[in-house]
Amino acid sequence: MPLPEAEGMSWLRLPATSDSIEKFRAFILDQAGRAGLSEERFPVLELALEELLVNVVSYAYDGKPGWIRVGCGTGRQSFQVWIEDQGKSFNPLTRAEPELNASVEERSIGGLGIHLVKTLSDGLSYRRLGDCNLLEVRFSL
Amino acid sequence: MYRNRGRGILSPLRSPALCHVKMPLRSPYCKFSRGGAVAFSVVRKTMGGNVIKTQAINEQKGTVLVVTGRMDNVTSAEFEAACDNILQKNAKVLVLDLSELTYISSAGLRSVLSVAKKFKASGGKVLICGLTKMVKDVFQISGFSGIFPIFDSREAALAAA
Repeated sequence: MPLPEAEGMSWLRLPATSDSIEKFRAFILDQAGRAGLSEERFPVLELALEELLVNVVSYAYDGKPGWIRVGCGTGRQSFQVWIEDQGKSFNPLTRAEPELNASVEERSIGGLGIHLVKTLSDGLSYRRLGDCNLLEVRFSL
Repeated sequence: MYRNRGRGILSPLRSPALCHVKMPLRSPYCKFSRGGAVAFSVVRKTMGGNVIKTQAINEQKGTVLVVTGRMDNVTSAEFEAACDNILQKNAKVLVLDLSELTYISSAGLRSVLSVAKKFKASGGKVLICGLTKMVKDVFQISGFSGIFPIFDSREAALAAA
């Protein structure tokens, strides 16, 4: 699929299983190092990837086999990561904001992962392209 | 390098081939250290870089659980198991010492919350001390800083327990 911002990007496509998450993690950290992202930002980068990839693995394909494609590159003074899947249409950005002030007994965790990614990254966007979901997350260089 | 930081904990214990073993590798042992008796210690490594180590220390006012490494979608279960183990011994005060925790995701937050709910339901409480920068940021953004008593040191947490 041609992506306008995707010039010179590296891609990795793996089955949408939890075993793949570690492989994506190693791939993305390696690419982030090459792109010159500060290592101080690595934990936040990892957090974003874990939250987004676990979501896709858990929900995109309803338990049926599927794939995830991850692309990394630089542009707009940022390290950019794309996460693509062919599962059911789902925009995580439309989830309700979590209730942050509830007490221990009342507190639930729904939506917290996306809230963390939105807050800690420098940009998170979603597009439906054809029959694919495409998430883009950016970290300023 | 950051990406290798977590791996050093276990690399002398396991060869890469063993990383594919599905059963968690547990190495419980008993010893004594500064402050109190080390009741139980667990190290777990899964494929890749997911590493967590927990160590329970019995103090007069409660149990301190020192959590080292990462709390992610894989390792958080190990953390919850360690806390359940402490709860089963009728502990009422649990101090989570997170000064060696370098990473937490929403899966880790879910586990911390679940543990706190269980302690509260049995009339106990959970206190937290020693947040690293990443963990502090995540606690702040998720509102956890407002719902948990958080202290700079283990001593301060125990004093307030």
